[in-house]
Amino acid sequence: MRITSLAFLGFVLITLIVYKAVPAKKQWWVLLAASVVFYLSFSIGDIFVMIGTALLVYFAALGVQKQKDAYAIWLKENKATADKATKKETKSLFQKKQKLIVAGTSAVTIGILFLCKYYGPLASGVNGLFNTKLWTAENLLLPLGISYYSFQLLGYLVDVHRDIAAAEKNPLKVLLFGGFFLSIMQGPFNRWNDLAPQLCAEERKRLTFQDNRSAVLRIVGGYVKKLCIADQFAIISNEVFTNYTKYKGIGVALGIVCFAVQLYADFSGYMDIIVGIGQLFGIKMPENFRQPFFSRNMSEFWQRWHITLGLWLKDYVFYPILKSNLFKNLGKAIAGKFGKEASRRIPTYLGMLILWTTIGLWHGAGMHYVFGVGILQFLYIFLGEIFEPLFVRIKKLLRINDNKLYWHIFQSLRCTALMMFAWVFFNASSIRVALQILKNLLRRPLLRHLLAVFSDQTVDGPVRTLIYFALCIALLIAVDLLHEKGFSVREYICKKPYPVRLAFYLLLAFALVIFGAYGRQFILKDFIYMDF
Amino acid sequence: MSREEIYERLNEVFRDVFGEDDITVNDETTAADIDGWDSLRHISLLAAVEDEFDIEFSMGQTVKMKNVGEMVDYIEEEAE
Repeated sequence: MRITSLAFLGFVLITLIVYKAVPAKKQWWVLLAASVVFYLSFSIGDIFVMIGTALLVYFAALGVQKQKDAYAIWLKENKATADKATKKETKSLFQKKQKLIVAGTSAVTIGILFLCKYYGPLASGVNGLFNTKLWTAENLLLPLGISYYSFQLLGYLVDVHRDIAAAEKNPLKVLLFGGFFLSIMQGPFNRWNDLAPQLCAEERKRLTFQDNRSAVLRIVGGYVKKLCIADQFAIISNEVFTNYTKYKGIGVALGIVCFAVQLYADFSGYMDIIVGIGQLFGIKMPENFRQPFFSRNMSEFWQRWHITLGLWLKDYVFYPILKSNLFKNLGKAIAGKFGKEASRRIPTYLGMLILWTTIGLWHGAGMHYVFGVGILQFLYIFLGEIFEPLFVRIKKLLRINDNKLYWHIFQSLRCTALMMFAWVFFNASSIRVALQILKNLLRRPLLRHLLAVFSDQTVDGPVRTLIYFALCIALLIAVDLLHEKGFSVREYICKKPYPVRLAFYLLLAFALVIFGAYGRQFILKDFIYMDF
Repeated sequence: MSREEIYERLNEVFRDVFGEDDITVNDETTAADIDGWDSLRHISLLAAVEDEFDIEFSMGQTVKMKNVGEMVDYIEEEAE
């Protein structure tokens, strides 16, 4: 059941009607049933992997909780008599047992993810290099949403271990948290304490007409982004990235820009649809984007792009690495030889390298992912940090004022250009292809190369298509600019009198019908991040 | 150790980690109030606080702490 299909809209409508008809206490059953039906609409066999993972995490969390409760009882009984050292020792003993449970469960869960997602390409690579005949797991398909629910469920288990969440006694509620139909396909990454209480709430705030109106507007806006912008730009980017030998200079540049717009409209459009539907159910999902193209540097870009993945990896990968004994000892060793500042920086950069490699790998087993959205991103941030004192001196020399608009525009354009460069690797089928595309980009730009893309791929010809593309980009920038200034277009429209709202709704409806990527060349496209 | 004493020593740690001599923190200070207090510096800051007060922040505290007030609460509790 594709999100862009009428079947999905019908499914959401029916679920919503049943959800509103049952008492609040029972609503989570409706969400669970809907999540199971939604998952089964894609695959029947895969659901057992998800149920298995959820059950494993459920029992592990109960095991961790049992150790915690046992320590609490011991502490209560011995608080007055035991000295500080005994307390510390006992606590550490119980924690060790908890860590064993968490580590074992993580190993199994990540092991399944590795087997389904990474083992096949790795084994094929080894076979190719060493002429071996390793099993390449050809029959093993990637279960839908495995990269999302595995991380999310492990996050819950770690939260129980960290005293952030209490272990849930009902396994079906853990299954609902992992497999919730609005976040199973491409996030956002939810935290147990944020989502579970909302999914299983016993009482719900009654939504006002204004709330529902705002939600519907966000959903429709998301569909406009996906169908009228992302899928239209995809026609050009797909052509350039697929038949990359055909295009040079400006034709390649157009393909790269189109992919950047496509990716943003596709992913943020999906988020608008999902967050909007969540609002209709009275469930607040976390935001994944915050005007990323207005970032001043690459660190900031990643605080505004795919926000929930970054935050998840920070709390569950980056911090544990830096706080591990290995990194602490490394810091101490460096401090002795190179001083305090180096002892802080070097372990942090090493941790960053591991973090970014993980982010690259999370996207897929291909080296083009590891490089484009992993190592290259690390290099951007690392070099930015290393050369910061030099940049500060140059800025002082050139009398550049950080607060001036022209400088902010320059910084934003620089970030966008760096990301476009990285996305060439991300979207190409391999590093070799990406390098070929970049090589072609530097070839003599000829107008016919640009025209060739349009004449082959678009119905309306180059001029009309280019004008349409320019208007789409201007629209995306304008809306983001208003959001950056704290002005919500959606809330503004929602508060307007009925005739104004009606005119706006009609405008969106016409946009979907007229500019949606339908027609002779149209193939219904999945969202890009669904593949991860 | 009184809360005032903790703040006195904590201000020194913040000044050292962020390289700014005029930093003064209070219960409500958050990462948004101090330039450069991002996820990269957060761990360095906590390590410096751990060294200064001879305590250890668990991973739960590392990710849970919302402001300096909560950090001081924990230091106070551990120093008892």
